[in-house]
Amino acid sequence: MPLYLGSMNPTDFKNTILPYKDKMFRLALRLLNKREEAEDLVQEVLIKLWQQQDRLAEVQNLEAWVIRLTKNQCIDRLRGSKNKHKEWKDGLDWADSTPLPDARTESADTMNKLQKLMGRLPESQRLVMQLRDVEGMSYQEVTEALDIPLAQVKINLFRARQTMKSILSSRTPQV
Amino acid sequence: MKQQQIQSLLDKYFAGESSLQEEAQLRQLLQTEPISEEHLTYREWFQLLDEEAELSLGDDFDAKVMASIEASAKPQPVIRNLSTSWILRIAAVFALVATGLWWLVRSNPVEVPVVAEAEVKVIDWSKYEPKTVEEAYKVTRNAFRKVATEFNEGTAIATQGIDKMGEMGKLMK
Repeated sequence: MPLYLGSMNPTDFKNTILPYKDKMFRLALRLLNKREEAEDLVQEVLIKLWQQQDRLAEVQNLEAWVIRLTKNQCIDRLRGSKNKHKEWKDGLDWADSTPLPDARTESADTMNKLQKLMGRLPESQRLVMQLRDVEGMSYQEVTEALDIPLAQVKINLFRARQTMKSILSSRTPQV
Repeated sequence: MKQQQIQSLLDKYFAGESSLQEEAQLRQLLQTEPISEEHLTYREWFQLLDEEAELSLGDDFDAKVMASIEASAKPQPVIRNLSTSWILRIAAVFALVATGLWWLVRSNPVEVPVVAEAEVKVIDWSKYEPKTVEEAYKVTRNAFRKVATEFNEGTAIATQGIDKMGEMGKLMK
């Protein structure tokens, strides 16, 4: 059953779509690694969603749809920057420990630490881990948001956590 | 006891077999219970994840997005580019055409050919029955000839009218 039928006014948009902005932002940040770029991208996606609101009638799971659009937009942007700068190497290039250039809040420290850890994962594993371990989404929700089979979600998550386990067990606690 | 529970939940977590409830329980235990040194790094890991989940965009972001959306939602006024000078030009053209037609009709009244009563009777097909094939052919031919003549007269009148309009147009220039 579609979630939204009929035309949407700005108030409807504010109440139904805008609440997903933070999830969209965190996902964009995890993929793009730059706060300002992530913020721009989320704004871009939200305006696209507003302009394509007639498609909402076909949407079964609004959250999954919004997340998927954000992910796709991030990937398009990353592939675009790969073509421009040839720095993108299959989602693995920014796995190093380079601090975020716009680290400006106390959150930046968390972002940098997570970037160091999760940045070592391939894009597919990083996406699943972000949605499950940060956003607390169920396997089914992750499946719908990333548009991949449930088995693939479980495999990616298992691999991501195994990698994290080996990294964490070799580290000295800092907290 | 709690240490064992934590270890068991960690094992399930890293094997990708834990439920969301179990993961929430693990986070809570790591935060609230005294834990062994080997578990400290996992406590830090879950803290990082929780802090990441708190990252958000500010209210100014909402205001910025909603301003763009509200601007695009407003019905766009229909912009009419017809200026007063254009309206006057169109009105002048209409006035000229109307005057021209009036002058044309007044100076050249169309002469409607009077059809003789006898001819009308000949073409009264509801009453007339030709007796022979030749007679039917003759009557049909006469009917076509009459139609053609009237058509030619009408065309001549129309052509004459158009020519006069052309002359008037030249005078207007």
